[in-house]
Amino acid sequence: MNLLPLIVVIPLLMAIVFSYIYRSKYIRLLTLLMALVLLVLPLLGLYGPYFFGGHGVVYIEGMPFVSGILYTLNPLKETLIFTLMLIGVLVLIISTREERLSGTFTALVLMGLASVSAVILTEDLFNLYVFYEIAAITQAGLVILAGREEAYRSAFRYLLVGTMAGSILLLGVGLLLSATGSLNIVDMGRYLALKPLTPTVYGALLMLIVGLAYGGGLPPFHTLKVDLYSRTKPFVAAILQTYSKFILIALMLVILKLFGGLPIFNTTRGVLIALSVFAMVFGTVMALLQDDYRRLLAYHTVSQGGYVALGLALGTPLGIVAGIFHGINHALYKSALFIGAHIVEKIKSPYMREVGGLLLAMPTVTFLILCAKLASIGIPPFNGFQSKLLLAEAVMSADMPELVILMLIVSIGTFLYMMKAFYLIFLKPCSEEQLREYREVRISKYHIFSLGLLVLLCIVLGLYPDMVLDRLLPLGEEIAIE
Amino acid sequence: MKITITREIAVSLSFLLFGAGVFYSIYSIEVVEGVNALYTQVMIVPNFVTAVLFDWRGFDTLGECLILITSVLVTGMVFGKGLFNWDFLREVYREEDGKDVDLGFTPIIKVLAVPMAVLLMVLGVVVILGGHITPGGGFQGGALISAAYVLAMVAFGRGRCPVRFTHRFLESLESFGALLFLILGLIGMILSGYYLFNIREIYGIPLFPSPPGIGDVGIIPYLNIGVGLKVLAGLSTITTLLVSHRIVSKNIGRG
Amino acid sequence: MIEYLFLPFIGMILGFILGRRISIRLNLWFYLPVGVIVGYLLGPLPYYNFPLSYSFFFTLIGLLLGNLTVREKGSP
Repeated sequence: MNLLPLIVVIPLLMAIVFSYIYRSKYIRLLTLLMALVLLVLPLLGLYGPYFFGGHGVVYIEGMPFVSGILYTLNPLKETLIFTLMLIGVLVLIISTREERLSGTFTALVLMGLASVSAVILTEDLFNLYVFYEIAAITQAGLVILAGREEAYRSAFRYLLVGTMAGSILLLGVGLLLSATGSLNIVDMGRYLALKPLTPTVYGALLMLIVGLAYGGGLPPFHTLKVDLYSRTKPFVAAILQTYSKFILIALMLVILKLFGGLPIFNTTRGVLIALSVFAMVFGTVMALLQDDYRRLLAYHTVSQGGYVALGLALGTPLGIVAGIFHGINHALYKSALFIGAHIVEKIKSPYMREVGGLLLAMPTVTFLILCAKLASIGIPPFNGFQSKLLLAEAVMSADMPELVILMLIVSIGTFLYMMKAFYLIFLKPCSEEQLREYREVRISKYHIFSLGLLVLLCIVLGLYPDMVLDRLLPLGEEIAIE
Repeated sequence: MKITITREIAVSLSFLLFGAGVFYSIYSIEVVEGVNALYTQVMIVPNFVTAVLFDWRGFDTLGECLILITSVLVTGMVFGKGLFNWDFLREVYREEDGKDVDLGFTPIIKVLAVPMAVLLMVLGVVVILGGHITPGGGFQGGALISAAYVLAMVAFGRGRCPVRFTHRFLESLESFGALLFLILGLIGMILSGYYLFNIREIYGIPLFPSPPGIGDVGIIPYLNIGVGLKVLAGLSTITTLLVSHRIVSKNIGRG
Repeated sequence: MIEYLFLPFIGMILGFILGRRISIRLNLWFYLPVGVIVGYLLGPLPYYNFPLSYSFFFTLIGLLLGNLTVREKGSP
């Protein structure tokens, strides 16, 4: 029996249970157990299609239609879900060390994991919309959990814009349904390729791009995401950025599958590339100006989201593979950085100028964070180097050398602000008294374990990128545009 | 000043362009029948909308329910449920203000509110249960029941409200509704291999005995009940949270 | 027979749960006639073959049962 839906259903089920028993004494223990279960989930499904409710393919006037909801699993989706669940597990493990942990946090993380996996797995546009909305509400909820006024503000703003962007995405789905008579992405793509395009389809494409920009944190919605990441607890930001990165990848793949073969795809590609370039440049420039370590990391997330979107928007096999690979790598090293920021905030403060000399207090953590930073800049032998190299190759082979130069400049900018942050937090000399203050704060083994595991994965992927690339390449060729 | 004017012009221009695009694309709509031909020809239950919602695309409905559940959870969090830090809320709710305000409703409202609430509740239950045959279903019926609750709450105030849905009761109803939906799906998966499979009968015993001629009802009424309980609980929870200080005080560890 | 009475029976259970939560004592002799009248006005809901919505009536009976037997009395 194909247990594919359990990837989505078990976290949902447990989320409801956790939200019911949110005051229980055993929340920490149950959260740890749940984390173990999550690790098994990606292995449950079998490759291939899965029809919900047993409603398979029917033929209407010679055209095949999927009558129900279709999920598919392939190596690409499996890799994405594995990465997602891994980061979810680490965040859940870290959360058990928090004071005042309640079941609501676990419930929201599980809800988000389930909905993002559904967005990745689904081949049905309306199903994608539904789970996209759940993911948006979940992210706002995770920010509200921080319980500070600024967190409330940014979450409300995110939700307000979210209602608008979500309705626009829904309208786009509706328009596409009316234009093609189906909600299955493959069926829709086939129908669109056969019939002449109408203005309805153009409108739907525009609306899908709005939904993509909101869900993935591309301009003009990037400031909302930055507020989200910087105003919550940093280890929560680790899972938030993973959600939005994977939603970005999933929606990009949907747009490629739907509109890839159409004559309007060239224009679409231009728009998407412009959006991603804006994200890269804005993110870097703004990050250079920040004083708050969390905000710096948040802007860095936006600029790296631009890289991911750039690779996918190219539409070439190499570009798609490089984009997805960079997304996975980014999720890994960025989560490590956010967990590091959490440790820094726990010890002293998130403002870089108030900290200093942490190197002497905790050399192991410093080393691990340095590794994550090097990975994010793109220095061998870390994974960031491999994916950025692949991206540069893809952009070169798509005949856009100017973008490679831009990517290099952005990388140099990344190097600048990352090293500035590293100096200010870890290397800057500090007084003896401050050092004593640092040493009094105990850092849990769970934090160091999570950080170490993520950095280890960064190194492993940097040395053996083929582990992931072999799984992505066949699908990249399948989706790619000629 | 100058910057804001420029910004406003830019915003209105972009709204205008976007709106024009949306209107143009809606204006030139041509609906293709596609897979709807199948939905309108095959009869599963007499109410075709319910058939699409709970049979053909049951998983979407599950997702919609979960949107509501997540929203209610997040609303609870806004009012202090399980936060990491309560300082902000403590500041907002500094003075205890648990007194009921009688807005001076006339006896007519107070006399009529209870029978109307009772009848609305009963009607809501019937609408939930008849969702597979007549217009209606879980969402509508649940909304009716919670409307009854809101009516009683508005007429009498929180303290003397005759319909006493406690917070814990609503939480239980909500979790039960959602779990019913999810677990029925799992049972379908165990029996047939497909999640949310519409099980007609188990060992010859129909799951929901119903008169002949109304199709394969299967698990649809139970799904309707699950959705109904969940919607009822969700909307009522939000009402309770909005009118009651006590829950917030309890949530933030005071009282 | 069970085909026609299963749905009202489930309605009775749900009505019982809800009626338990109404804290004032409902007057049986007021609600039964009103239930019949409203059921007649609703017509055949949800099954088509009976001029009165007996599901409505049964649910009301369940609600009254719940209210009159195991009513919750405490503060909200």
